[in-house]
Amino acid sequence: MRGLLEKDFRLIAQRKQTLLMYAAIALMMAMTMDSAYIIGYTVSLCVLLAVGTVSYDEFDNGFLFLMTLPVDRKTYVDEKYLLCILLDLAGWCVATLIYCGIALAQGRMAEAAAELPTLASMMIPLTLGISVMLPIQLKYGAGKSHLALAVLFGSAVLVVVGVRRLILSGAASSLGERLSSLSPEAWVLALSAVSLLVLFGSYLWSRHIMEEKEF
Amino acid sequence: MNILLNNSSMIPLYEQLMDQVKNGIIRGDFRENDALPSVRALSARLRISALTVKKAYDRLEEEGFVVTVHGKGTFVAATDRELAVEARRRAVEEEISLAVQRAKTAGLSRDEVREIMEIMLEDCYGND
Amino acid sequence: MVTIEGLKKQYGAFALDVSLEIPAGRITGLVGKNGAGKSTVIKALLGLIRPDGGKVTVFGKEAASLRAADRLKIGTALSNSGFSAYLKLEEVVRILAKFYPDFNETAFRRACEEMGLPFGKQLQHYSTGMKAKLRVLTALCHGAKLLVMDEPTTGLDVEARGEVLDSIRRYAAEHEDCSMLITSHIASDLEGLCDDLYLIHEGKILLHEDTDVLLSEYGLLRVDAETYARLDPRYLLSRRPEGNGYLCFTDQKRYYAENYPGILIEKGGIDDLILMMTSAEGRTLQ
Repeated sequence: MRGLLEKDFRLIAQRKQTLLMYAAIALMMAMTMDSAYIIGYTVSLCVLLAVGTVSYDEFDNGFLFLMTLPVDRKTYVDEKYLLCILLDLAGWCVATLIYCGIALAQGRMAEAAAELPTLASMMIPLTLGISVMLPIQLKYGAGKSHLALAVLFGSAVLVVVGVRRLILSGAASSLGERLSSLSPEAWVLALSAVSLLVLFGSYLWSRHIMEEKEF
Repeated sequence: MNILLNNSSMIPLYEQLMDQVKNGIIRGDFRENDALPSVRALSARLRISALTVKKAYDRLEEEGFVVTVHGKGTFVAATDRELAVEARRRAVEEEISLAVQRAKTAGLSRDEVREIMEIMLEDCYGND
Repeated sequence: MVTIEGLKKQYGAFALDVSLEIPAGRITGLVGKNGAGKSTVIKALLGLIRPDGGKVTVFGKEAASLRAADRLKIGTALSNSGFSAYLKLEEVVRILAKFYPDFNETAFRRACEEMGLPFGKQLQHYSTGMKAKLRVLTALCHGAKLLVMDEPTTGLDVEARGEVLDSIRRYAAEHEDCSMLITSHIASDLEGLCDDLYLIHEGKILLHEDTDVLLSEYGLLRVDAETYARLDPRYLLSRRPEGNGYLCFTDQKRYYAENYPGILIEKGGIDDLILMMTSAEGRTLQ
């Protein structure tokens, strides 16, 4: 595990240009836009960097050699999820600090503090993102995973559209009423629980993918 | 120990190696209880397979020139040098006698055998 | 140390069916042309692919169930895979130190320096030869009990080949009980290193022999058609037409030397072995 983490951090550090560009864009955002964007932006970038290490592993037949190092297939999956969550959290913390710093400078600290729960809820879609991207990256590899992700998001859009029609047609209107009667806090909690469950399911799926994989 | 093996010789490598170690012992390059290089070390030095070296050491042990102590290595045995020289001489005699007998059954005359021997000696020892 | 019994693997039209054994302390060579199945055997041994049939055991365990703790004792050099090309050697050193508790950093650094590998350069800017050297040094850096090396000398010039082979030999001498499996299609590299050799062709083992027996008993007879006609065929393994005669491969060259005085006998190198045993014409006697 330590060896894998060491390798991945060194690989991420390779992408100096990406990181510099990030800093530039984040700075621009901080000055021109609603600073809450920084958080969404930073955290997504961290997740992309973490998931991207799988492509580095895969590139040039790399997996073959990697799996001859003292690494269990399970450890490999553990490490990838750990890395994603670590970077995800680290990104959120850094971005939130910047956000609060800016708020403090502008003298709207109280406002910012009130927004913290909303900012925390940004982790939900990103956790779902990790849950989808990691297994697909592991199963299809860098080349085919773009296609797989496109198909997946396409079908997600279709599902949403379908559900909306269903609700509009009135068939699910009683359910809809009950859902909208929930408080926002309850919503966030429920969605967090769901996203954690999905993350765990995704982890188990990735484990299965790695066990089945031939190199 | 200075060992030179001839890769293109018809004599198998392990026999060449045995001969050279024996020569070393007879010449007195090695004394009793001197350690020989380990199998893998000698194999690395001579760039021959370890099994070849092991085969040579095993045969040398059978002939009483060396002793292998398990886990410690291979050592020069308490050989009587005179006896060793004698043993080699006997081995050579045996092989020549085999060849002479074969010559006889092949119907070669005494002079023909002598002639063959002369030619071979000249080839091997040079013309002196 | 390693036992492979009836290993089967199918890739399209290619079918592998191999049995071999590497006892403790043995250096075994697997020779054959490109595409003969050498890498597949290696992958199965390392548990990187699932066999369709047969049994592969390493350290007495099924290869598929090798754990990280077992892999600590295995050193691997693969022909077409290694650390990410974006890393520098300096970073590889750090990573190896985290992976292997027995990593000998001082020795590894010294060996890299001796072989002229620059520490500050990304591996993607290494030459083919440098990459090959690094792969071998990586396999040798942590006191492994079993070394598995797929084509460790491919792409190297004569001098670099010598260096790499010598470093493997030195490792063998310093680790008397370690076993190795080394593959090559330039078999002469293996003559002075391996204790025994397996010849693999089209997924099957054609021959298994101790190297010194191969070198001392096997040979090539160069004969004209007339001599060939009176040649005792019992110990001929294969023949190939050549000029107005034949080139014959035997595992009893002394028999022919004694019984056919004046016959032209060449020492059978292992490259001849591959050529004579695997070419279509060469196998006519089998």
